[in-house]
Amino acid sequence: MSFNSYIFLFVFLPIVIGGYYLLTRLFISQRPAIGWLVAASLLFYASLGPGYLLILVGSVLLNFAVARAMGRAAPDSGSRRVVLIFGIVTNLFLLGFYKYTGFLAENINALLGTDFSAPVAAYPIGLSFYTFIQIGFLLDAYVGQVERLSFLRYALFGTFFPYITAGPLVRQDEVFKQLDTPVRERTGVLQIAVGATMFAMGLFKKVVLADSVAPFVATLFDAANGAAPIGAINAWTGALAYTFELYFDFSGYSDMAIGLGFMLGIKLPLNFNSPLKATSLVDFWRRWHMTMVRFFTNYVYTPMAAGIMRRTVRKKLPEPVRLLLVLCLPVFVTFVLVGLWHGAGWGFIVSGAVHGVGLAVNLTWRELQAKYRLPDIPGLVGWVLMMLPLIASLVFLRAANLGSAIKILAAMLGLGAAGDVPPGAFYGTQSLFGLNVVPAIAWTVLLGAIALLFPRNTQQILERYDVALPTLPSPEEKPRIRLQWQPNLRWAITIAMVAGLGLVFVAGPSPFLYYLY
Amino acid sequence: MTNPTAYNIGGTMRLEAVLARVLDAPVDSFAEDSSPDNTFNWTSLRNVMLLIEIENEFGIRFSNAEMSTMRTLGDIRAVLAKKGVAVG
Repeated sequence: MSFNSYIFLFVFLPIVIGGYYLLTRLFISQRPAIGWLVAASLLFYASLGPGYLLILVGSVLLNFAVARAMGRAAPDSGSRRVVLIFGIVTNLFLLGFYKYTGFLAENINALLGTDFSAPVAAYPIGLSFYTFIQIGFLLDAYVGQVERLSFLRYALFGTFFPYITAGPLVRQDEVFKQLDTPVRERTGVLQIAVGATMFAMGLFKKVVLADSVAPFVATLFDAANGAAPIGAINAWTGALAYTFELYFDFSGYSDMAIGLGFMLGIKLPLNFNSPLKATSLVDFWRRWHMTMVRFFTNYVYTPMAAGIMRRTVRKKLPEPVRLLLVLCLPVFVTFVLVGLWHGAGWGFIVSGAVHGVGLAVNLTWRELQAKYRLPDIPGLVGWVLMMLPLIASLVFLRAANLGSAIKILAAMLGLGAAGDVPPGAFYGTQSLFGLNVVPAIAWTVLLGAIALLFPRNTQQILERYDVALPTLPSPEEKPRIRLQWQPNLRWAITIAMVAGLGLVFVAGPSPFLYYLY
Repeated sequence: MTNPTAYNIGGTMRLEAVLARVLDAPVDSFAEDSSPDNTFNWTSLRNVMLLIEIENEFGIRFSNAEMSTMRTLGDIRAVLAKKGVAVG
């Protein structure tokens, strides 16, 4: 049962929302309503695969017990630290067991000529997400930032179905603070209308936009994994199509998650903010998968950079060395880990490393720009310099192996093998108003135009209602076109059409791309 | 009420003095909402350097959680106040 399935849309969701609102109106205490959401979340997760539920429940119980144990230990005590380390290591071990043992065994075998085999276990959807959500919780609990912890509240935080499968990576205080407000103040007709609007726009992005290019993306990457030669136009079309597919798929999922949370009176943090309009790689990472960036910034990059800076200040190292050690090294290591978090494979690591190098260059440029008063890079040039490493990294992320990725990138540079076929023969053609068009190119151009030229993104359309919590500070934008949702007939018809198209396109639900990660 | 001797250096505040030194800008050029987003020299490298210099100046240590919340001068002042450092 996925957000984009009929059973979720027409059975699960109406029952969950109906039951939840009934309980919020029948009881003054919000415990029955929270209990209802926990039960619904467990049912939702169990529907995704057999055996998954045990892992999620085990993870929630373990982390709650670890937090309780830390609460009993004195602040800054050795025992509190030991409990924290035990909790983090256990979480990482669980994640590592399901995600990385195969990759580890494969590389040890290749290196040492051994014959280790990893245990074959189905990867539980969302494990990377709920493991990191709970590690963040443990780190906050360690420094005493968790207030009014109860098992029921924690069970909801650890299992809440809108974000359990693919984020956003929420922080404990974002959820717990909202639960302090009486549920009747957080729910109502407006929340249903605004949340449903956000959900409908997300559904449209996923099933109408992202899924429409998915077959063409598969055509390119399957061809790259085989012996077929690939030409430059075909490689660029497929690589760009994947860039837009991933954006609309994941931001569409995030919009749906935010919309669901809003309907249930729990705002979720913003995850995307028109990232493909960014004019630098640094800017891009302030707009793409923002909650993941926040997690890695807070718990990996900042501690590493601060620790190195403390040493360089003590040793009075010169500025170029500081630049390399404090900025370039941590950002590179952080993004290699980001790549590895996405999946076990060299393609994921290279994908992260591409961003690590790109960001190190971008940050170094900014330092030099400030120091020598260098002029700003024109927006269009900056956009190209952002898109090139992005597209290259996504080719590594999507390709079945490094060889396939390199084959596509070589083709994009015009270095593909001879004998490639024109786009029409490669991707297929369709007759449209008497014209012979290549749908792969038409859809890619259309998606690119929407991503780059549509004046407002989904949360901006609903900004009057603060549909999401702020995640990372972003510069204020003054839109030329004020496209703002309002509870009126014109918007009701517009959103009904968006939702209607979404429902028509939900023919056979395709999994969200981030379910893989 | 703050203790003036705790932060005054020749009429300027110690916190602003650290900012001025690290960011290479006049000591009176900062506002409460000054941040890397609106201050020319406040780059990523200097941001990390700034936080470490503030630690050294006031003899304190920021946690990761505190570091992640400090974006503007006002944010820094609020965290310092929470740590019992009077900075105006």
